[in-house]
Amino acid sequence: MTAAVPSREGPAPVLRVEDLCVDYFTDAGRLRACDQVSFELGPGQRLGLVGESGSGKSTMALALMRMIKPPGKIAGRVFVGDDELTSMDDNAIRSARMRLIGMVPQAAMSALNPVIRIRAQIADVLQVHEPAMPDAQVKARIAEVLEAVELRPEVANLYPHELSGGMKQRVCIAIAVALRPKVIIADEPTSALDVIVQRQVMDTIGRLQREMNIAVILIGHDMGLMAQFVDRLSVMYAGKLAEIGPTGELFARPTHPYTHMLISSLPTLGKKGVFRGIPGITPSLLSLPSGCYFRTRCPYAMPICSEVTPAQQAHGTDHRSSCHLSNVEGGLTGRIAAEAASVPDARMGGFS
Amino acid sequence: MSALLELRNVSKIYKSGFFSPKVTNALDDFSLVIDQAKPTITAVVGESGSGKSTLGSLLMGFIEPTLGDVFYMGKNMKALTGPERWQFRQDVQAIFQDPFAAYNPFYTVDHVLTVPIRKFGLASNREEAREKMGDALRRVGLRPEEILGRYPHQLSGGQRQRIIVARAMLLKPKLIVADEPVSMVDASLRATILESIYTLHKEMGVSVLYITHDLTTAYHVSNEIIVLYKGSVMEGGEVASVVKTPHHPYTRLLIDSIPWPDVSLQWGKEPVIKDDGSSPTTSLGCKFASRCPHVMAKCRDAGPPLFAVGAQQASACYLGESSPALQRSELHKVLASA
Repeated sequence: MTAAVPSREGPAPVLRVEDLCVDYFTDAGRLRACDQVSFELGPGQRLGLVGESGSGKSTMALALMRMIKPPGKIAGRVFVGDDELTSMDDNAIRSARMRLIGMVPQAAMSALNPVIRIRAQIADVLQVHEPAMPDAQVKARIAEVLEAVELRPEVANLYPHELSGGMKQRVCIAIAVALRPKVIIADEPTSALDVIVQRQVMDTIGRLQREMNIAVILIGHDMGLMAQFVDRLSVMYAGKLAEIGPTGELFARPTHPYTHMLISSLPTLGKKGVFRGIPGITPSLLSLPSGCYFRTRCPYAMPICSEVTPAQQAHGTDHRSSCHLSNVEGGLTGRIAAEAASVPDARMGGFS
Repeated sequence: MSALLELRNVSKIYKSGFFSPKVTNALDDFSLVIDQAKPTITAVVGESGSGKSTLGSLLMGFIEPTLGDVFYMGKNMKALTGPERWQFRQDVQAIFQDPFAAYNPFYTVDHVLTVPIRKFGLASNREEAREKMGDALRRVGLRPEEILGRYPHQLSGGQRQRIIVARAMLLKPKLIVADEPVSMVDASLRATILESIYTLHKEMGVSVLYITHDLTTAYHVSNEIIVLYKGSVMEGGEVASVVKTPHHPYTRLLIDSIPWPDVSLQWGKEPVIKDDGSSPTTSLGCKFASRCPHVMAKCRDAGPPLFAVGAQQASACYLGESSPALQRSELHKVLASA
């Protein structure tokens, strides 16, 4: 069960993912929703995972907890600390879920059982994992986790319909951290909430991350939220990791055109009417283009992109991406600068 | 008067419970004029429960106001005759939040386009109908050959939402009520959908009421903005002045809470004060009082009127007391000059 942790500087990673693949075998053929994803996450680190719908980010999150159901199949290895999740038997993985790796689901509105009080829903996760826990202690722990997510203890007696969207999301966070896992995966935890509630919920997640030293994987498609919350950011496209690196560096010097386009697709308070989406849609995983998967939507595509799949290349420490432009002089930064100089408003427009 | 639709001192009150009814004031003394001669895009922003969707439903005639009246072409909505109501149904079109729920999964997507053509008699034969459908789809940036004949589950959320925009376009409406049209779509695709709504406004002279909780897209798309909180107008005016120099503490909090895609900007400098439920829920005091960092004693006694804090900006806050006061029903005067 235990694998040798490679010697490296700093604390040992709390989550280690090696060549994770998820394949679905369908009537129309094999479909790879997650393609050789590898990364590490240090204790108490915040990692963002962005991509459009269908890019495989939620699939990857489920695969980390080994919750892919047939006809899906997981390959590769996932370690939490020294425990290898991918080699555990069914009983061991059931006890590892929520204890080692917790999850805040995407739709808090439908994640809670509407006919059961909040108290019972939190007690459920405690009692399944620690059946010997006395009732008094269960009660104390429920009050404790509710307090940790800034809810009053009386909330335990309520039903989900009596709570607001932000409160329901907090209950889901309370359930996720009830067993003090080392990692929590938050899958678009605030996508249905408005900006002020979003900020409060993210503040709570951030505070728990600091106080309990839990590593957080935040999944979403909002680059704004990522810029404000995570230390490291990974970008997924068509099941592959397009780029991963420190958030500040990715925003200042993206090395994959998709990262650059995701950032510039968001409106800012600059010139009114200047922001533009990414044209085209994500390719179907059943009919992926040859070479680089992003070339059909990439404004900088070159002949080589349709022939050779780009390999991952390191850019300094802890920053890697897979794009052929990295081998061209000036790279992506040079291309963006050249484009801006020649036709200043080429990619602008929109609402002017 | 050339108002297409006018809300005059409208309130909508919901009651729930039988013996001790819980009263919710979804919209409180709200007035708005949608001009026919000068098409505009008006953004209505606010958090959940601010009454923005109630406002949309009132404008579309789905619900009737508890107090006050809605006028369509100068005529009270309650008194519309059959043909007038039919005309109203064509003039005011809706785009809803959920691009998944808007379709019947058993029909191809053609269905949402053929029904309005048939009901409103927009085409005399099949060829003409097909022509019109293709034309509308092309205008929102879709290729008809890729769309027609498909089932909803075969298309992406962004494509489905653009078909709904195309459907609204077919009817040549005068007003489109877009209730959170992009909140369920990927951030990278929002711009394309907003662009098609904007094109509709620009090319066909359609007014748009853009209901959203996203101030950033509201800033880029609209001409004027109304900020709602618990059913009352907090601030309104020309969009750039409201967003760049917000006056009302609530608007400032909203803008401060936007996560900007820029690592150098700090998120959330203003503290969020939790609602302890002590704000007055009637129209007597300011509804934001319990969360306001600048709260004064008089805020809880009597709600502030609108103060014209700028040439094209009005704020319902005593911090703007030195500016001339406006009646609640005079909001459109600030908006109209935008």
